[in-house]
Amino acid sequence: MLRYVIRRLLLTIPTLFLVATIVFLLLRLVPGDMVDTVMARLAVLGGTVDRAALERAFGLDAPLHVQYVRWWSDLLLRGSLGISMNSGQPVVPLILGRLPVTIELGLLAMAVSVAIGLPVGIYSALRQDTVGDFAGRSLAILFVAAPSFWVATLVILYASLWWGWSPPLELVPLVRDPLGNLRMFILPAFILGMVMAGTTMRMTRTMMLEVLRQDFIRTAYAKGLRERLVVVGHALKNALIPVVTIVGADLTVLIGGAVIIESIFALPGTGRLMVDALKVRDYAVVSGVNLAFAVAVVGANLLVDLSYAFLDPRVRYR
Amino acid sequence: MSVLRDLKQSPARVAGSALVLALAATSLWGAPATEEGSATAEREMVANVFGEMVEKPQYGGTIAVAITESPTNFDPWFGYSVPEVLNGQEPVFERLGDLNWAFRAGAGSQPSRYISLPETAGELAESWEVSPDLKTYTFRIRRGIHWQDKGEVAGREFDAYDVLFTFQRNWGLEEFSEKGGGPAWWKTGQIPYESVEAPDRWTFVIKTHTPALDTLDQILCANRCPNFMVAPEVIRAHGDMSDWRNVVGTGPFMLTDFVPGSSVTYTRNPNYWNADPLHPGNQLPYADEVKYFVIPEPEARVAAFRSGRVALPGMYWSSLTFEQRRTLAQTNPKLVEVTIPGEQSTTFTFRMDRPPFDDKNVRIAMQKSINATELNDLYYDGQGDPTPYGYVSTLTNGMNVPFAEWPDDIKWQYEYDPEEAERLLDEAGYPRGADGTRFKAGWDVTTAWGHDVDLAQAVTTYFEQIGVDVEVNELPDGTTMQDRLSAGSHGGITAGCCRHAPYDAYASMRYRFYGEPGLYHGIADATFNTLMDQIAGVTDNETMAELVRAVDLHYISEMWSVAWPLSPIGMMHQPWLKGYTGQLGAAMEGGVYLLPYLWIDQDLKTQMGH
Repeated sequence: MLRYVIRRLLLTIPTLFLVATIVFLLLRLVPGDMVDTVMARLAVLGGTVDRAALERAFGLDAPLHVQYVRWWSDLLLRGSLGISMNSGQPVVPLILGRLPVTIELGLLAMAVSVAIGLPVGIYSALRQDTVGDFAGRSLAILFVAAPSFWVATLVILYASLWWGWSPPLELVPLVRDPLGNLRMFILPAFILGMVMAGTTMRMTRTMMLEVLRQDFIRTAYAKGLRERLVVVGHALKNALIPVVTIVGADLTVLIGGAVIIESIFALPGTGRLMVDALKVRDYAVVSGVNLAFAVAVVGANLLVDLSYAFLDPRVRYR
Repeated sequence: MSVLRDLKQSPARVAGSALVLALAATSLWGAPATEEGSATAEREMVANVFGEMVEKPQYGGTIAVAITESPTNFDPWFGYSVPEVLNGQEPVFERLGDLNWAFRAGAGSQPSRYISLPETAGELAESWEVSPDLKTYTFRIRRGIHWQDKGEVAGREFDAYDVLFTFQRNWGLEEFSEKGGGPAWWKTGQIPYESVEAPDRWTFVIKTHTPALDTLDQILCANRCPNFMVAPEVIRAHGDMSDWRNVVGTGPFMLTDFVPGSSVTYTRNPNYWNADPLHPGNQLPYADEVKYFVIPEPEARVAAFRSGRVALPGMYWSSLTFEQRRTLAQTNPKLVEVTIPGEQSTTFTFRMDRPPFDDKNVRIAMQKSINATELNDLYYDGQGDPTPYGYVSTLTNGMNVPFAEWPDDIKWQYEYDPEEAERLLDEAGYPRGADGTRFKAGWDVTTAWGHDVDLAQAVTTYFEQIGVDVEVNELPDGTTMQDRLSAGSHGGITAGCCRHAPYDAYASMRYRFYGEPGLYHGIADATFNTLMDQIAGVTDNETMAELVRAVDLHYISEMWSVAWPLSPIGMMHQPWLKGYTGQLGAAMEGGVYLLPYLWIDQDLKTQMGH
């Protein structure tokens, strides 16, 4: 198993290298750079600026390949993702400062997804083709189909119109005020979790239906075991293997959703950091956040693969 | 045009209801009461400096404000962008000069750069003298001002040596010669300085190489400018103030908490020196605390304002569009709205170095297709002003040419006459094609620059009627906009300028059109360039005003852009936020940092359930 893990870790290197390179190059293809941002801001105020001087200050005067080599050497030799052009601050602490928000939002959204998706999926499978099953399936389709940004905007809009309510604005640290913190996170987490809940619900139902038709389940019933024990102890564990894969893969959905949801709900996470940086072409921050996201996705997939051994003792890693 | 109205009238409301009800428990959890109580309690009245009886200002409370972008660095050295200047640094730092809160602005009294400014008051500088040759500027520093009681500087008295240190830092002089000047050079960097010195503790002197009419304004930095004074001890100890915990100024509020991308908290500086000019006995600031909440999404920002979580929806007049204000006025009639005739920021400039807009008659035709009166009635409910105007704001003292004074042949260019427009286009060689279209063009807009996309769409319907197919390209951000503008890669029309500019008309015209070619229109206009060169050498206000009027009329005559109704720009605030008495652009637009002067009516706020 150790050998497998090492091999997988080594395989992440070219993956991350490719992601970082593609992001680095794509960013430079997007129209405009930080100098344009500054010029645009100054134009609003009637100010002027020396373009060449600004390019020198931001390190944009060097040829692309020099910038590229510089970025990698900073990362590999100094562990630095560069300096934010917009704030003048190192990128690594900027990302680390925002990570807790995204992690909390992601974990809560995942919890919402599992809390809704699993029970409804199991119920739908156990009561196949009943009204309850149809309702559960419809709910799943609704969750998958409704874009999170649309739902979020509607909720904010109508809640303020009808009840004079809007989401809390002040981010309270979890350790200082758990309840206050939850107030800020619960609504965005619910909306973000809805999309994943739909997928989880449908996958759980399908896998449960498949497992429930297996011989060992019939044998378990024949032995006189109670339904709860058969479902939870035998069927669910077997059905969960692909569901875990889906939940792991949902990390990409989470990250994509977090970028939007964090902006709508004014949550200062890494998604917002990336959007803000992208608006001003803060190359270092965008590259850094993308690399962090890539590491997270690769890491999550590795964890999912490793979890198979726990869920299915027949799995052996070579 | 109204998203809210459309949603109300559509089946989406049903879907929305279901979703919202499904989340009702969550939503109501922790929700503030929304029942608006009647604010009929007797208010104590006092006379202000003008002898007017007004409500007696109250101390205490928190002013919550929504802002669109998070400050990224509170050190003025990095202050080259709007969010830092207005959102991050204004509460903490001060400049040599500021705009006078007690100045009673009204139509025709908008601050303008090159006429002496009654609006300008000393802030850290108590007074100043300018030598007759406009080359020596001597400032008397106000005594009794102390740094905030924090960090290395620990409440020390502010003096001229601090001013000297700040200018040396900004310009990369003395101990900063190796490091060089800061990115904030954009304002103070325009000063042609020869030397800078502090001959004694209360005197600061700048000498310049060449006389310039706007040097005093640039040094005082009274309006939207980051030349804030910084404490030498703090900079020497930490290198800069990138760490917000080290931020110290002389301003009315102290920076006490910062959650990047989320909120900024300032608390009252108990040792602040300044008093309310409208109520001279009252020490500023009134509020105990100011909180900025970063809310980038417009709908979320409006929702936070509607629900009373913030007292101000932004720090700019343009924070709310006309449509948002109209909707808010309907749904929340107790909100207070202040409007002024303002800048029409959605107007555009033609790219004139290539067809079809290289032909002046084509540009005239575009103007003649627009029915300004109808547009004003339909889009602005008749609240705007359809009278044509030039580049320089009609609110500017003596610098603009009012429509009534335009020569008849120029007035003719601005008359609504679609038939004449079609004739001009035929003559210019752009007949209607088989599909009725004469030519196509693209119009870049972005909400990031405050452009009203709905308005742009509405205007294109007029162009369509004369066979000109203009597609509105809504760009995601100002950076893309600037890039396409600089490269001239847009579809022939770019927004972001250029009529009714209230500030820096001369400077912004120079930036946009001076040179070979000019940035916005892509041509080298000899008349314009010559006038600009003359303006640069002027040393008296009368000649300056005369030349600016000449350049404005040239702009109007050459039709570098078209004019349509001036929108009534405005700001809304919660009824419990008080103290604003109509300082017009000198206030909320960003000139004066208004929050120290505003106060919270706690009783009213409580009565309204907040």
